[in-house]
Amino acid sequence: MNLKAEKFAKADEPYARAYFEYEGEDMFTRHAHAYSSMLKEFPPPAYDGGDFYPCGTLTDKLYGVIPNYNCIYFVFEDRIRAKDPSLLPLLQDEYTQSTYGNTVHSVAGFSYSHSLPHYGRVAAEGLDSYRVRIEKRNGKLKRGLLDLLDGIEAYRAHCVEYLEKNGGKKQLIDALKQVPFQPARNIYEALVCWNFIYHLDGCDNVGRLDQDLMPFYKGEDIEALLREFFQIIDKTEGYSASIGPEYNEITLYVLKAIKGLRRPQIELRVTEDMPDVYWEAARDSLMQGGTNPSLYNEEGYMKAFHKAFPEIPDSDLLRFCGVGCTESSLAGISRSGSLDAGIHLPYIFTECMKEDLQNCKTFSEFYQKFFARYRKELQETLDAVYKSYEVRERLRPSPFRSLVIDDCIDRDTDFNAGGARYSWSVINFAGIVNVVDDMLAVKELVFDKKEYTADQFKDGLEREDARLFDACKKCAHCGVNDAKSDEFAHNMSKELFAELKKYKNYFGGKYIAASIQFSTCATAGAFIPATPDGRHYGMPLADSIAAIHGNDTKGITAMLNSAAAIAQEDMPGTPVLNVRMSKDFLEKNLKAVTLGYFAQGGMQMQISCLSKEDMLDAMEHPENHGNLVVKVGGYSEYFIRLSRELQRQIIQRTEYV
Amino acid sequence: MILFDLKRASVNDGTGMRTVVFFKGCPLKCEWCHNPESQIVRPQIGFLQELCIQCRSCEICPVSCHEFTENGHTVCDDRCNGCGACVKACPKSALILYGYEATVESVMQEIEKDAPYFRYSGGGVTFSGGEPMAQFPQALALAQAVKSAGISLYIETCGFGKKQDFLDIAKFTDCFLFDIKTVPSLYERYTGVRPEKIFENLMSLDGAGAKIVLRCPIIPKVNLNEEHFEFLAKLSKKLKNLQKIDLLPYHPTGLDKYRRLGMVAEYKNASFLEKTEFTDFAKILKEQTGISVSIG
Repeated sequence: MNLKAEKFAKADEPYARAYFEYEGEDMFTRHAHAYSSMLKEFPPPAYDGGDFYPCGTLTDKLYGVIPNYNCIYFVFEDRIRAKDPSLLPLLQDEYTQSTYGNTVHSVAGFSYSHSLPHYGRVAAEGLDSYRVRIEKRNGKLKRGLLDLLDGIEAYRAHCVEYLEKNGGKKQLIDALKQVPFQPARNIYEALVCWNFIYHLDGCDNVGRLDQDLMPFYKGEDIEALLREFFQIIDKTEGYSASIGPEYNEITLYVLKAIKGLRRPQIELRVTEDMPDVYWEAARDSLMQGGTNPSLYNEEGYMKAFHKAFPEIPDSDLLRFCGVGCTESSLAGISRSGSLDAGIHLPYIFTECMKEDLQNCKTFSEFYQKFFARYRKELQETLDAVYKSYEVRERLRPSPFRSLVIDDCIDRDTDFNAGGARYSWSVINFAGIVNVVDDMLAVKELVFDKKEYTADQFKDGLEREDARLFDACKKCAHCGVNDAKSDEFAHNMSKELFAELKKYKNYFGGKYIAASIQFSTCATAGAFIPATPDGRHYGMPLADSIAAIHGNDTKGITAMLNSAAAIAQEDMPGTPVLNVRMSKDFLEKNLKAVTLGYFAQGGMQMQISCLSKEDMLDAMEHPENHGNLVVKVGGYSEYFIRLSRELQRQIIQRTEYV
Repeated sequence: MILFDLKRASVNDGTGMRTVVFFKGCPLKCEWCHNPESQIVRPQIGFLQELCIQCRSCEICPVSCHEFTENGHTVCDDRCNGCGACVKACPKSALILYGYEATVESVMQEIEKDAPYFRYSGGGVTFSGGEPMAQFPQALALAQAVKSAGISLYIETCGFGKKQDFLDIAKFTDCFLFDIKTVPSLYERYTGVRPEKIFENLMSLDGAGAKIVLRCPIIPKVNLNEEHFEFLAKLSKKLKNLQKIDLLPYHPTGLDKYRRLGMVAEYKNASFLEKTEFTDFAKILKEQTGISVSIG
């Protein structure tokens, strides 16, 4: 053992120790060995007497270096420092080389990716068959992957031993002797396998539950089992799962089991002819005051995917599943690049105002100046993403995801080197509605009616002049289904998204557009000066593709139609729309508003069903509202965990009654 | 036609999600009217004094409706020609224009925006007011256009108008939401019109096979009594095509509007009528008629 490895061994840091043990080897083998070694030593977590094990996250054990689904390993500096401060410099080289800088356009993340394992395949075939495939392929990943499988096998054996000594249920012990190495023989074993892989994957997403679990289902009542599994996901901060578009008994069990829970975020893929029983179950769940399920337009997504990826066969597109908040992925066969970067449109707009407005004689000229800046910023951002991929490929291989996501084994290529069958990049457009409204106000007040000169307009905005703000608020804007504004929004968004088509990502894959602002609409607005959409300095941006708060004055259908005017057919990355409805409205109109919106091109609807009074009370008495869940951007979060600013913003969100 | 509002996604004016077209002008003057802006046909200016900053932007008015004295800003609505210039000029949205000229085409354009929601909810369009039948030729033209577009049409009416007009428009109407304000003997006192024509029209529509929902505002000290509910039961039994009875509890949301319009509300009750105060009556009504009775 070399000196570095010895030091980490002394500090009980198995991942780092094993990583340095293999110094000089290729990075994939090093990380696979590190993960494997850590699993071999990882103390089995406590057993709570339930039907699933192991539960909890790998971060629960206080190691300073642990594997992570996004950045492959994560360094908890405080933990390392507490053990032995002299260890940190040893990690410096590794850590800094592979950490990517943020830019103003990071918005929700930079070079960050959720993805999800091919759960169904692991459950159906068992990891022993993966071992056979790896040996047969006999490629460069072989040594690392077999090492990793040994680690998983050892951890599984430790878990079984622990359960046997600590009163584990016989059924659970038997299941864990079978899965994940041998094929699951029934729905319970399949779910135990799901949980085991979810645990090892770092508690990210659980995929297409009803579709991929169905082969194991023999008519059992699995509502309680699913609920227990969902409670584990909720507790471990897991993200998304999808159901539909082929509806079955498990679809219904999922909808019943998720009632009132925050996570996983269930995405119900809705077809126009979805039977009423699923509508009723979805409605019942939402009326519990939670946020599950969110509703996805099956036809809309498929149309957008066909347009963006004509080369992908339908059989693969059907594996569509949101990851993280709601970013698009193909379950078990893709690397989604789910938060590779954003593009901060209001930032570009304010720069354009500052530098260009006074030099423009026409609105068209100003609009072109904005797009010139946008193209430059986009190119720089995508260049940075490209470089980050190069760093990832070189320094951050992903052995676990290479094992469980197709076709890394067959291609003998690491997940982070393009081994997945599809590797695309999602670019998150922040503030689309803000810039549309900004443009409309500039057009009307500066160029069409000439009520303000460029200097007066800029000066008024800078001073946040009340009269100018009043004038801006009266300008045409998104959210009221005004034909001209909606047409402008459509054309401008289409032009913005079209620019992405000019680029290819590091793997030769495509960049696809999304708008997912979740809590970042507050942080992304925090440094942006006042804008002509009526936003004051530092206030949040509009939430994803929804109208700016207070602008949706013509009712829910007008708001939805305006949102549908955004060129969502060019946003397969996912366009989030958050809507707050009263219970009464939801009960009567869920199906009609959803299908009506989807018929016009709306792709998804994220619904919160809770009263303003409850939220106001939760701000005053958070101790009484620990379970109050709201939708923010595309993800579900406990209301009391949000910042005061976001809490206020959500309360201001129009409640349709 | 002169409208005073067009409300989309209404879920309380017929089945499903509906676009409600509010016609301005009504032959009745119900004491408790919660839409005082609907009573006269011509456009009116509503003034929210608390928002006014006395900037005098409204002096753009071509007929000098706005006066500024030491007592502040007053609006002489009588002169208003409905041009809306002052409303557009007001930076604080302290002025509201009630009433605007609309065409069949412009209204249909708005209606058709929500066609997908009508389709999936079983909704459509509802004419309301004011009184749609008070602008019969325009209402008929719009009704024909709505029907031609394959959209369901409900008409909420006080029932006052020419019998033939009702029969003509019934050809394009899926259901009438027919208001019953009080027992006949009190109609003139509380609405300003005699009831004979109203009930004759109701019976004619029923006789012609039109579907009918009775809509009955329940007003404390006016019709919240046994006599009124007995009358409703008796009337309901006479109707062959009655679908349902809607009981609408009094609410005081119109009082602010009287103030904005410089009008005086005759019925000044500022309290909401709780449903519980007439659920017993509603129950009896249902038992006596066998017809569905809803409250709200």
